[in-house]
Amino acid sequence: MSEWHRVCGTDEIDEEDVIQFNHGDKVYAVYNTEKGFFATDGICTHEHQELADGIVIGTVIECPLHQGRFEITDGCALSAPVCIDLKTYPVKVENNNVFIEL
Amino acid sequence: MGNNNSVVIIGAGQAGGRAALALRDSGFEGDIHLIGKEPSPPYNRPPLSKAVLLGKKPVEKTQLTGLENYQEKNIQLHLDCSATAVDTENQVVTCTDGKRFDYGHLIFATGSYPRELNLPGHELNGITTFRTDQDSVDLSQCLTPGSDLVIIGGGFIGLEIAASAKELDCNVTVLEAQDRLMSRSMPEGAAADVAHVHDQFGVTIMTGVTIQGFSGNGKVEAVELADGTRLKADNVVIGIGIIPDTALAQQSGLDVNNGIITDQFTKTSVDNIYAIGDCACTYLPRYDQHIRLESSQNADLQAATVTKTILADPQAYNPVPWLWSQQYNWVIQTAGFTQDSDQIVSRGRVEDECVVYFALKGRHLHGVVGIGKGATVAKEVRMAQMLIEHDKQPDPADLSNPDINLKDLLTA
Ligand SMILES: Cc1cc2nc3c(=O)[nH]c(=O)nc-3n(C[C@H](O)[C@H](O)[C@H](O)COP(=O)(O)OP(=O)(O)OC[C@H]3O[C@@H](n4cnc5c(N)ncnc54)[C@H](O)[C@@H]3O)c2cc1C
Ligand code: FES
Repeated sequence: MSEWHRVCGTDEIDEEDVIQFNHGDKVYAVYNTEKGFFATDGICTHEHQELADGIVIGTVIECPLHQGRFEITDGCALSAPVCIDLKTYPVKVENNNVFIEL
Repeated sequence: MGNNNSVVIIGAGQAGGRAALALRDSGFEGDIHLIGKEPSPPYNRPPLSKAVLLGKKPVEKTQLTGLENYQEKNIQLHLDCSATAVDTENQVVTCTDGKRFDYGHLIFATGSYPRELNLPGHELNGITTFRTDQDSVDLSQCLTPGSDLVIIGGGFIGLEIAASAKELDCNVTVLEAQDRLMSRSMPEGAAADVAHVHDQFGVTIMTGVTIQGFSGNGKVEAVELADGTRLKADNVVIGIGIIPDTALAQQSGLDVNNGIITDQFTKTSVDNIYAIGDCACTYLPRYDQHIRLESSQNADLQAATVTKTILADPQAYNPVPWLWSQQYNWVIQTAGFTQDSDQIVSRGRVEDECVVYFALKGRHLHGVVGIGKGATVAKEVRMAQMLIEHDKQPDPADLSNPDINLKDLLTA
């Protein structure tokens, strides 16, 4: 059963930025982009690296370790060294709070 | 006459492999022949001195993709096969086993090979350079706990091997001929910080060292220094730089000068021939210079560039060069160039596990080096890379002030 979980207030993620959200033993990355809020798995598909240390450019997240890039909106792996897509998760905003469905 | 609809790639390393895959993925329909001297299909070298040496990553996992993928994409992989001659007039490549391939487009992706150190005793067992997957597997078997490893050369590869060997509980000494580490690629302060990190982990670093030779009976037992010092060694790794593999290109009549000379579209001086990766000395419009880069990102990006050029959608190669190294749980990243700069400023301290050095040339930011635990320096190095890309002239006082977000300087 999937459920909505509160991540943070909308003002807690800068525009064009990302924060990490831990739930259970899993790590997620939640983004504030020009196209709205999105969420993906929080660990790169290349090596074990937390994506929240990376930078957001438009709707692209760049991994901090080797600059592999993913499209945030659909998790698509865009450039080497990453080749496996990121899983994405539904996000909604209610009363200035960001929620993720897990 | 060459088969117009065929691409032949000499060198099945990271750049050659990526180019073959990218050509197919971008819809190229002709024959693709990927010729490689090594027995393994294309693989990434960066993990060899890190996770593979540590036994944390099986060596097969370094391969770009599985063999079946080349089959599926109809890429003809010729491994254990060396190209020995190129007839540029008739557009034909000849290989050691007598195979001949017509080409419409020919890509040199021959990479580089390690510089040797031909001092007395260099042929003793236990002395090795480090470049291939086999080198990594062989060395990992020798690095038993308590054994003495001497590394010659305090550059990235030598220091990465030092870190891995230390994690494997070897006694590690790094010998550097210059008076400090990484004198070609890093400012003095940054090099001192890297030395500090290695010191904390118990690696001995000796700089300004002249080596006389190696002694031992069949197998190396010691490294002899000019000042009479004798360093006990069970294993010696030579990491004193690489030489671009340009012999075949030169013999084929291509312009070569510290690498195969190409324009910003990776085209060489001969029609329908391109060069990418470690072997290429590429014109970078941003610097108005031919520059030879030795990095994983360069191999990947130039593979993408040559693909576009061959598919008649040329896009100039013009990055601010970026690379990473990993030593222990520390990450070093650099972007741009820090040599020939007029001013160096820094923010943070290595004692606080995150320090960034900025190099300015005139008023322009020219290069950056970050040294930190985990990926802590990545954001700042990346922002600095963008400042360089946009030719920004940040105030040095802002660069050294950790309270200033570099992102804000981008829009300033
Ligand atoms: C141990 C190690 C660690 C590294 N770590 C990092 C890192 O952390 N970060 C980073 O950015 N970079 C790193 N690098 C550098 C990076 O791996 C290289 O820049 C990259 O491999 C270059 O790719 P390439 O395809 O140009 O050359 P290569 O990968 O060397 O491939 C060239 C291939 O061509 C073959 N070849 C040559 N001549 C012929 C011929 N005539 N016929 C057939 N085949 C031929 C060679 O045998 C070789 O297999 C590291 C390198 C090493 C060795
Ligand atoms: S770990 Fe993310 S690109 Fe390598």
